[in-house]
Amino acid sequence: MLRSSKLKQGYLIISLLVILSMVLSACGGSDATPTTGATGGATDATPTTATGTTGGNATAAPTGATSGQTGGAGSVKDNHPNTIVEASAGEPESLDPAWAYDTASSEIIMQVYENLLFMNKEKTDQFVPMLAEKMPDISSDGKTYTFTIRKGIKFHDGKDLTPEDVAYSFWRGMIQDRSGGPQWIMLQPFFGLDVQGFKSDVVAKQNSNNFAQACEAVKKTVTFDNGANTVTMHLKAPYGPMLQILVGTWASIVSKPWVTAQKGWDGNCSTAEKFTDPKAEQDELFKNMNGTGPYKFERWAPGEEVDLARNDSYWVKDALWQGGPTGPAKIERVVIKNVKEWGTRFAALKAGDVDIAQVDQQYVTQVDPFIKETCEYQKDCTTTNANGFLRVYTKMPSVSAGAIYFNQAVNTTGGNNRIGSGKLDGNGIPPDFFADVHIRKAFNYAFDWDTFIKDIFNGEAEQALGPVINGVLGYDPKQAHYSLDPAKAADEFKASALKSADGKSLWDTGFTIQYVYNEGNDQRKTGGEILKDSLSKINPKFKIDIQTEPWPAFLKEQTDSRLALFYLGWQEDFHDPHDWVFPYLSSGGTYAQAQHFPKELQGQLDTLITQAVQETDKTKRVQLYGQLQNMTYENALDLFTTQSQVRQYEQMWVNGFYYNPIYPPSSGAGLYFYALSKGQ
Amino acid sequence: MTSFIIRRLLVMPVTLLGLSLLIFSMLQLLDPVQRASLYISSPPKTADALQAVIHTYGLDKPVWEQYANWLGNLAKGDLGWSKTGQQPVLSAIGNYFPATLELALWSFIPIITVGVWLGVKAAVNHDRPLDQVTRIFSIVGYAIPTFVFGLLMLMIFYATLQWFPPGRLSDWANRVVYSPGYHTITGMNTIDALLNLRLDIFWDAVLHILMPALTIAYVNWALILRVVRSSMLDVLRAEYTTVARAKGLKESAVINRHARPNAMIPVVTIGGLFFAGLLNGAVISETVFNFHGVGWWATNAATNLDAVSVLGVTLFSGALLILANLVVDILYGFLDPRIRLA
Amino acid sequence: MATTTKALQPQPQLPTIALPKARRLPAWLRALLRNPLSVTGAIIVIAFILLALLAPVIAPPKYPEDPYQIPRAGFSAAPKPPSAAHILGTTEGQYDIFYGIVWGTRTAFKVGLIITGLTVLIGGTLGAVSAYVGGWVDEVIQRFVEIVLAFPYLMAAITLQVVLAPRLHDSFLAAMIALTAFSWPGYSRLIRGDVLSVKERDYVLAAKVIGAPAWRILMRHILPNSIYTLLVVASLDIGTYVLAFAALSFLGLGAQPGYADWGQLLSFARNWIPVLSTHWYIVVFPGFAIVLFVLGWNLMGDAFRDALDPKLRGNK
Repeated sequence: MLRSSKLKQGYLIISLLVILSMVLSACGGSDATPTTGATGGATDATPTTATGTTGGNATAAPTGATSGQTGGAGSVKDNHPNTIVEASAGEPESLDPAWAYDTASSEIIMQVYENLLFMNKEKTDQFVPMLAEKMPDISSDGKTYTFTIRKGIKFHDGKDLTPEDVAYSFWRGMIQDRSGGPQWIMLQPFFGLDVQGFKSDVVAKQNSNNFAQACEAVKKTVTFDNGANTVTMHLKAPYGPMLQILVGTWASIVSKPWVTAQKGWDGNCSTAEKFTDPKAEQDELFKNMNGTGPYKFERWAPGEEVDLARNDSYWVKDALWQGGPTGPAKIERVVIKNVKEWGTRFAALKAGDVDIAQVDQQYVTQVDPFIKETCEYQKDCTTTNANGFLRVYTKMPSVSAGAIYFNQAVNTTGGNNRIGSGKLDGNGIPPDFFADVHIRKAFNYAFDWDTFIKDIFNGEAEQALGPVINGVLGYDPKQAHYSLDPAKAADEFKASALKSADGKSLWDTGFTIQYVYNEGNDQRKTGGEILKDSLSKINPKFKIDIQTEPWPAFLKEQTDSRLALFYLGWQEDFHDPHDWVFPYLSSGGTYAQAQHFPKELQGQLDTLITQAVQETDKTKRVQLYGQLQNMTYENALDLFTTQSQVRQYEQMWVNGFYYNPIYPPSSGAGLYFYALSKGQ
Repeated sequence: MTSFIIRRLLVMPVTLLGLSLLIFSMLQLLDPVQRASLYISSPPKTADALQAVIHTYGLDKPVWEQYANWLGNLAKGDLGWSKTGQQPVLSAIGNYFPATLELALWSFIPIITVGVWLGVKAAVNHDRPLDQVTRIFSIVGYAIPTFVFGLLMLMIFYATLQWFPPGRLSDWANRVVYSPGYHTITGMNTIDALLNLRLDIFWDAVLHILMPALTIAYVNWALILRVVRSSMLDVLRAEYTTVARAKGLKESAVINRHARPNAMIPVVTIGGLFFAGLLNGAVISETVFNFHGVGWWATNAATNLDAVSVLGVTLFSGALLILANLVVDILYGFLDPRIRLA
Repeated sequence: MATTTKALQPQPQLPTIALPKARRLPAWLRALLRNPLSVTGAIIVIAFILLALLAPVIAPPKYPEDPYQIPRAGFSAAPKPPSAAHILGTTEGQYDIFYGIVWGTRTAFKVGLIITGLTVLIGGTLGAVSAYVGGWVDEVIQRFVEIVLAFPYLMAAITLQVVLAPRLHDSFLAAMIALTAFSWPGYSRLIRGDVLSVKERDYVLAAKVIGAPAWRILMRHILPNSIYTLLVVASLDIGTYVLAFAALSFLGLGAQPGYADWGQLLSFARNWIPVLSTHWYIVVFPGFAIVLFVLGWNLMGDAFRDALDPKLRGNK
C-alpha cells in the first residue's frame, strides 16, 4: 500500500507536469513569433491613425511579414498561370438566370450569359449595347423600347442567337417567377408597380385565374420580329430604372431551342403552367448553362466549386467600351471556390493557390502584413510593404446599407415581451412608442456613428444619410442628417408628450425596450450596444435590452411586426433610387410595411415614389428623391446607420481589376473575369 | 446465430422508422415561416414571397401529409433534396461519406496498433512507471475535448510551424483531381492518389488528413488504452493464466498465447463502436479542420434547419450504428465461446 | 456509442454494484482519501467551486443586472494580448478572457448540475418504471431508448437545439434541453439493470410476501439500493456534460457571443486559426479552463472506479 501510494504521488506530479508542459509549449510556440504579428501592428497602433488599417500598417507590416508566418513573401508563385481561382464563401442557389437571386449564382451567370445591355466598364449609370446592336429606341411617351439584335452571335452549343430567343428569355422569366425570386423586378414595369408575383397578380387578379390568358399577356409585353431583327418592349407606364433592370442577371438571354431540349418550356402558352414557380432542383436550368458569354460552364461540384472554361469563339470583336477586352478571354479557366472557413481561405491565399479571395471585414488585420500594394478607391496604388505579396483595393463604396428600424405600432397579439410591460412605466414601452416623432429623433441623436464606423468597420464605411446611398442617382452628400448629439437627444426626449399612467413624463419614467438582431451578426449587436451605452448616459432610466434571435425566428417576428426596434440591412437589386426608397418607405416595401407609418404620411410617400419612378427626366427624378429623403429626415422614420465599403484582395499577378458596384459581389467586389488577365 | 442476425435486421427498419418519426415530430416545433427561412436567406423583397415559398415547399401542409410524402419518396429510394448540399441527399452522402471513412481509417490504425500495444504493455508492467505514464496520458487525454485539442493542433502545426494545413487537399491538387485524366474511384483521396499513381497528390492528402486523424486518435487512445489495460489485467489474473504459468510456461508465452488474445475481446467492441460513432466524432473534428465529410455537412445542414438533409444523414448513421453493433455482437460470438447468441 | 467524442456521451462505466449497504461508505471514502489522484481531482473541483462562488469578487461585473455578459473593451475585431488591464487578453470583439473564464465557471456548474439532475430524473424514472412494471411498458420504453440511442448524440443535440432555440427565444436553454433530451437513455438502462437484479433479492421478495404495496417496495426497497450507483455515475458525468455543452457553444449553438461560457469563448478562435501563433491566448486560456475542469472530475471518477471495483481493490 505504501509503495503504491508513493507511486501515485509520483504520477500525480508527472500528470501535472504534462499539463504544465502543454500550456508552456503553447505559450512557447507563440514566443517564437514576435508579438508584433499580423494584428499587433494594427491594433496597437496609436488611436490617432483613425483610418486604421492602412496607416497603422505602413510601419507594422514589415515586422509582421518577417515574423515567420509564411515561408516568406517572395516564395509565393503562381502555380496555375492559365487559370484564375477565386475563393469566396457562398454556394450558388441555382445556375438558371431567371431563378437565381443570390450573388454567388449571379456572379457565375454573369460570366456565361449575356444581356441586351451592359454597364460601361465601371460606370453604373452608362450603358453599352451588348447583345443589342445599339442602344434602344425609346418612344416619346417612354413606354416602348425597341432593340435591334446583334447578328452573328452564337450560343455555346453553336446555335445562332435570334430575336425570338431574346423575347422568349423574358417571357420565360416572368412566367417562371419562382417565389422569393427576382422576377418581380421584370414584372413591375410591364404589369404595374403593385405587382408582387406572376401567379398572384398577373394570373389571379389581372386575368381572373386564366393561366393561358396571362401567359399571352406576357407575350404581348415583349414582342419580336425575326425579319427586322428587333425585339420590342411595351411598358405599362414609363419606368425610370428600365435600362438598369435590363443589365441584371434575371434579364439574361437564353436559347429557346436549347431550353426546350432540356425539357424546359417550349414557348407555348398551353404548356406554360407547369413551368411556373419551380423548386430550384426541379428547374431544367438548375445546373446547366448555355449562354453567349466569354466563358462556358464546365462543372459544378456542390459545396466545393464551379469551373468555367474559355469560350474560344467569343463574339466580341470591337471592344464594348473604350479600351475594353476583345476576342476570347485571356485566361483559359475560371474556378470559383466556395470556402466557408476563413482559415482555409487564408491558407490558400498565402500559398498562392488562389488568386482572389474574400476577406471578411473583421479579418483584414490578419492579411495586412502580406499586402504589398494598396489601391484606395479612385486614387493611385501605393506600395505599402515591399515584402508583401498581395494587392488590396480599399474603400470601394458597396451597394448595401444598414438601418435600425422603429416600429410605430408594435403587434401585441398574444402578448409581446419585446416591449416589456407594454406601458410607459420604466419597464417597457407602449406599442405606439415610436409613433412619437420626438422619440425617433432622440434615438437618431443618440447614435454614435463615429465609434460604430471606426471600431466595427475599421473606418471603412460611411454614414448613410438616408435611404438613397452614395453612388445612386439622387444621393446628395449635403443631405440633412442626424449625428450624435446627446443634448439634442435629451431635449427631444423631454419634448415627448408621452405620459405614464400616473401622469409622469417620459424623462422621469424611463423605458425599457428590446433591441433585436439576427444571431451571429456581430456588427448589428454592436450597433445596439452603442445605442444602449449612449442612451444610458443621456438618462440612466433609458434602458435597452439587447436580444438575439436565430434567423428563422427573427424573420418571423419582423414580418409579423412584433419587433419594436431592430437592425437589418438592404442590398440593392438594381442600381436605382427606386430600389432604395421602395423597401424603406413604400407601403408595399419590405421594411416599411412592418413599421406602420401614419396613414397620411404613407399616402404622400407612396404618391411621390410612384411619381419618381415613372419620371424619365433625370433632373426631375433627382428632385423627387431629394424630397423623399427630406421627408424621411424630418420624420426620423429610421435610424440609418452605414453604407459599408468593400475591399478586394488579389495576388500581384492579377491584372485588369476595376470596381463596378453593380457586378454581383461574391468575394468583395464583383468580377467580370473577361476583363482580367494574369502575369507580373 | 442466423435467427439472431435475422431478428436484429428485422428490428432495424422499425428503429429507423421510429427515428424518422422522432425527427419529424421535433421539426414540428417550428412553424412554417421559421422552416421556410432555409430558402430565404435575406428579408423577402416582396410581401407575399414568404407565403409563396411556404406553399411551394409544402410547409403549410399537415404534418402527417408531409411525413407520408417523405415516406413515399423514401420507398422509391429518394431521400429528398438537400438544400445545404445543393444535391440529392443520397448523392451528398455518397460524396461526403468517403471523406469521413478515410478519416476514420487513418485514425483507426494508430488507435488500434498503438492503443493495443501500449495497453498490453501497461498491464504487463502494472503499477510500474510505464503503466503510470500511459495512465496519465489517458486521463489527461480523456479530459481534452476534441475541439480544444484540434485548435491546439492547428495553433502549433498550422499557424506556427506551417506543417499541416486545414482542408482536404491543396488547391493545386484539387485542380489535378478534377482534371479529366484523373480517376476518382473510392472518393478517398489517399487511396485514389495511389491508384492513379500520383504520389504528389497522395502526399498532399496525407498532409491534410494527419491533423484531424491524430486528433481523433489521441482522444480515442485514452479510451482504448484503459479498456485494453483493464481487460488484460483481468485476464492475467484469470485462472487459466495462472494455470498456464503453473505449467511452467514462460511469461512472454503466457502473455502472447493466452492473455493477449482473450484481452482483445473488448477491443472488438471498441472498434465496432468507433465506426458506429464515426459521425459523432466527425461532427466536431471535421468542423474544426474544415474537412468536408459527412459530419461537416451534417452540422451545416442542422444549423441551417435543412430538415431533409438531417433526416437523411440521421437515418444513414442510425443504420450504420445498428449494423456496427450487430457486427460486434456476431464477432463476439466467434471470439468468446462463453457467449452464445440466440 | 461515441468513441471519438468519448466525453460527449455519458458512458456509465461502473459495473453494476450492489454491495451491502452498511460499512460501504466509510470504506471507499477512506480509500479515496488515501488516493492522491482523487484528492487532486477533488482539490481541482473545489477550486472551481470557489472560483464560481467568488466570481463577483474576483471579476466584478460591469452590468450587475446581467453579470454573464462579458464586458468589452471597445468593439474592434482583432484580439489583444494579455496586458495589465486584461490579464489574459481580450478575444475577438474585445471580450475580456479572464472575466469570461471566471464567470464561465458558474456557467459550467450551472449547465453541468442542471443537465445531470434532469437526466438522472428522467433516466432514473423511466428505467425504474420500465424494470419494475415490466411487460409491454418495459417493451415500449426499451424500444424508445433504442431509437434515441440510434440517433448520433451530437447530431441529435444540434438538431433539437436549432429547432428549440427560435421557439424558446433562448439558445442557452435550448442547448441544455437538447443535451438532456438525448443523455438519459444510458442511465435508464443502468438503473433498469439494477432494479431488475434488486427486484429478485430476498428482502424485496420478503416485502412482497408481507403484502407491501408496489410503490412502497419500489421507493423504500428497490430505488435506494439501485439509485446509488446511478448517482455516483451521474455526478462523475458532470464534466462530460460541460464538455458537450461547450461543444455546442463552440459550434455557435449554445451560449451567444459575449456570454460568459468557455465553449463560446473558444468559438471565437475559429476565425483566427491562421494567426493563432500570435493570438495563442484566445485558445490556451479558455481551453485550459475546460481541460482542467474535466480533468478534475475525471480524476475523482477514476479513483472512484478503482475504489468501487471490488476486483481491483482486492488486488492492491
